[in-house]
Amino acid sequence: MTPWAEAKYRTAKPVFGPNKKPAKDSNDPVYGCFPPGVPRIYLHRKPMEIIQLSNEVIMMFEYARLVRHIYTDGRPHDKFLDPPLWMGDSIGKWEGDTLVVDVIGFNDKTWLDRIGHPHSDVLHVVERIRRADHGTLEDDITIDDPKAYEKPWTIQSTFDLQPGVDIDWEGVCEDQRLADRQ
Amino acid sequence: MRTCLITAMFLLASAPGSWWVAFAQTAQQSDAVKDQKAVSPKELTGIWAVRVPPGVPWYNYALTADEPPMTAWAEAKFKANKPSFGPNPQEFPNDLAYGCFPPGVPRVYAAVQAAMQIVQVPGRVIMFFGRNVRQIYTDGREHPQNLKPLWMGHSIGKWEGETFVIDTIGISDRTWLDRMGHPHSDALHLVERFRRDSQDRLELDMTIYDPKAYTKAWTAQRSFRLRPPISELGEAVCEDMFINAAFGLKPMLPSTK
Repeated sequence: MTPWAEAKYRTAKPVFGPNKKPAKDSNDPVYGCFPPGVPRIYLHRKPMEIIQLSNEVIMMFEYARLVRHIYTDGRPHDKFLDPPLWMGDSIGKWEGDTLVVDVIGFNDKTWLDRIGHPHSDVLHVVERIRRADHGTLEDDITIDDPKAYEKPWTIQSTFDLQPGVDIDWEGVCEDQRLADRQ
Repeated sequence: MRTCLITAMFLLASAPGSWWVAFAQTAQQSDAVKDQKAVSPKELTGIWAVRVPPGVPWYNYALTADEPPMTAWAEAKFKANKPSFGPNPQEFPNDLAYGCFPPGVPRVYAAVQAAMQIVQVPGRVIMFFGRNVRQIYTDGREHPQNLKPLWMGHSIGKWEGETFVIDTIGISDRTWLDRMGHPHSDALHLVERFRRDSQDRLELDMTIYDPKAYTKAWTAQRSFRLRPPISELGEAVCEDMFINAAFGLKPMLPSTK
């Protein structure tokens, strides 16, 4: 982390990790029902469904009922993104068997993970998604954010194919928050 | 066959059915038209923007120009609802949509600039209204028994000729039918008939059956225009706008200092 990120990290009140706080004291944006951002969306253990079309790949996440559109028709990033996005602006292209997804245009309100590591609005995420075998999807995720981290770093997420599972769209964050208060 | 003014086209897998041929009406369009292929009326994939029918206010808070025929039960519920649109807008609405709850169906068609993306995959037609997703099963299954209420209902679809017919039940009665607070009961049964009338136009005829809330079945219509393939639905994050203050929920954003 850069000193800028260290300072921001100290203000985070996560419910996991070394600095964990009770949920009621947390300032984790997902407790305000905001989208978790990328790559954090992959850290929540709920299924995602991928739909592949001729011009885009759609990821549907049960967590936070999110839908992510990754455009693969050769369009560039949106140059006029204002305001920036919770889940970023994603474009993808195939390099052999690997779908390379380039994501920029994030706001700086989300955390990279559930323990409060921050990022800035210059965050640039590159995902390399490939099907290692029929039932396994691997995603090598590079996080490049020179304002928050001294050098780019990489994490890997792995997914298992779950035949016959439907996304459950009924989990409304606000409903849970209301129930928590009662 | 009809002549259409076309600015957008989809290049997707064909489905059986009749085909249209498009003709350019202006010289400027001829290049774009050259790249186009005819699309079957049984292909609904694309992003569609709603057109509000005549008589319905342009900001689209009602399904119909006329008042639907409410029962006494529905009248009482309608009076208790506090919408921010319609003849009696309230300063402090109790509209769940302002708490970022899903709008339900058919309310998704009574939104400002309502746009939907339709995706057709084997066994399903998926409709995206921002983050609110409807899955319409086309694999021949029936509605499940003992269905629990669902925000967007349980939908099955089938083709009747060139009309896609969606049958939906199980829509949570926490949702309203529109933005002016018309209620529905747990007995709501919605039938939607979609028809791709021309290359860039989709017509929707819906029938609302809810004998507990309405004295007879009634219908509403919407028309949609195809958006160009480069269109995006955009990131719709309700919480950005409403932060749920109406429901006592505070934003929990970390300091950006």
